[in-house]
Amino acid sequence: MNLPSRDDPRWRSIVTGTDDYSLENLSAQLVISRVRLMTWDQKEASIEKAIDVVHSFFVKNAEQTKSDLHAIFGRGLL
Amino acid sequence: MKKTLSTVAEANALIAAGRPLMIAGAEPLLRSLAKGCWVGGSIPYFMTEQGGQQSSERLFVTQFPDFCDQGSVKFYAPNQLAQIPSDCPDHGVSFIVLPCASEVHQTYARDCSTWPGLFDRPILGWIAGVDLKDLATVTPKVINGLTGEISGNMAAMLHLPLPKSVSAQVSIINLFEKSDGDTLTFPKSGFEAETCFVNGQKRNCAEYLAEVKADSRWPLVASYTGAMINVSFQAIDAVKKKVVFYAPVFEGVEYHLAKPQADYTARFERELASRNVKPIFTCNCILNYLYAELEGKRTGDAVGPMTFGEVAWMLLNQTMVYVTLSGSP
Repeated sequence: MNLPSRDDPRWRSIVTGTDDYSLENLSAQLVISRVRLMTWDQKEASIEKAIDVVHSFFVKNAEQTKSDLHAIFGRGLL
Repeated sequence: MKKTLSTVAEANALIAAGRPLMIAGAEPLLRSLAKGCWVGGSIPYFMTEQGGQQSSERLFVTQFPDFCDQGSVKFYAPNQLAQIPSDCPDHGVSFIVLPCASEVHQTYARDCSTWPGLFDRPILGWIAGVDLKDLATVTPKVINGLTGEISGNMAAMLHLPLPKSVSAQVSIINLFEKSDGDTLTFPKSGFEAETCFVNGQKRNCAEYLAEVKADSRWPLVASYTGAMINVSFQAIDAVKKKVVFYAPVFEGVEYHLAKPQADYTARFERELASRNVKPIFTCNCILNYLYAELEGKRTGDAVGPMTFGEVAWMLLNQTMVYVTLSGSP
C-alpha cells in the first residue's frame, strides 16, 4: 500500500483535526486520539512530533490498518 | 486454544511442557508453581465456561496455539517501562500484568501513551488484584515465571512472537455509552480530581457528581476517535471534596457520564456473538463482575480472569479486552 509521504499535508489535518472517522482498529483509534492531545498546545514542534508518531504507526501497520487508511484518506486517494 | 481452570498440579504439567503461558490465580498458588516460560498475576475471580466464579484453589491458565512455542518473560521496574515498545517482537503480541495500586501501575497508566512506538505493536493485559475482603491487608502481586521472582511493584510481560503469516488484533467490548448530558474536562491528568470543568464552567468535581446524583457504578466515558474508553469511580468523597478514579483522567479529553447499564450478560453475549471471534485471551473487569452480578453467570464463550483493570495499550476500566489471531502459520 502506498501511504502518503510524511510531508503530505493530510497528516497535519489528522493530528490537528477533530474528525472521528469510522475506524476498525482500536490501536488506530487510540493513536489518533493520542496525537491530537499532543497538539493541544498548537505549537509547531508538537504538531511535527505528532505527525512523526502517527505516520510511523501507519507505516508499521499498513496492512493491518488498510481499512482505516481507506476511511481516513479515501479509497482512491492512497 | 485451551483455557481452563486448573489445579497447581495441572498447571505445573503445562509449565513442564515448556510452552508459554499466562496464569492468573491467588498468590499462594502462584508461589507454588514451577519455573518456566510464564507470567502470572494474583486474582481469585474468573469467568469460566460454567460462569463467573471465585476460587482460591484453582488457577486460570491460558495456553496459546501450538505454533506459539516461543516466548520471552521480563520484569519492568517503573523507570524501565518506557523500554516496553522496543522489547515487543516485530511480529507478535505482548501481554502485560501490573499489580494494582502500585507505583508501576500508576506510572504505566499515566505515561504509557507518551512512549514512542507504544501503539505500533499489539499490547494487552490486566491489573492484578486480591480477594476483595483482603483489600486492606494483602497487596496484589505479579510473578516472573522464568525466575520465580514475585513483586508488588514490577510489570510482568510475556512477549510472544508469531509466524509472519499470523497477525494479532487487540479489541475491546465496552457496553457503556456516553449519556447526552454535560461534558466534563479536567485541568490536570491523574487518578484523583478535585476540580473539573462542566461544559467549561469550573466546579468541584465531587460536589457536581453529588448534585447530579451520579451513580458511581457507571463510569465516565470518552470517545477516542470513536472507541469508547471508560474511567471508573473508586470513590466520590463528599467530605474531602475529591473524586478518586481507577484509571487516570487526562487533561484535554472530554468525558461524559455513562448511560445506566441493565441486563449486562444478555447485551454482552449479543455483542460477542455479533463479532464472531475466537479470542486466544480475554480478561474482563471485576467491576462488571460485581455490578452486573456475574457470579454464576456466563458471558458467552469469553473466559478469563476478572481483573482490577484491563490493558489494551492503555489502562482501561469496566471493559473486556481480547486478542484474536488471523492468518495461518
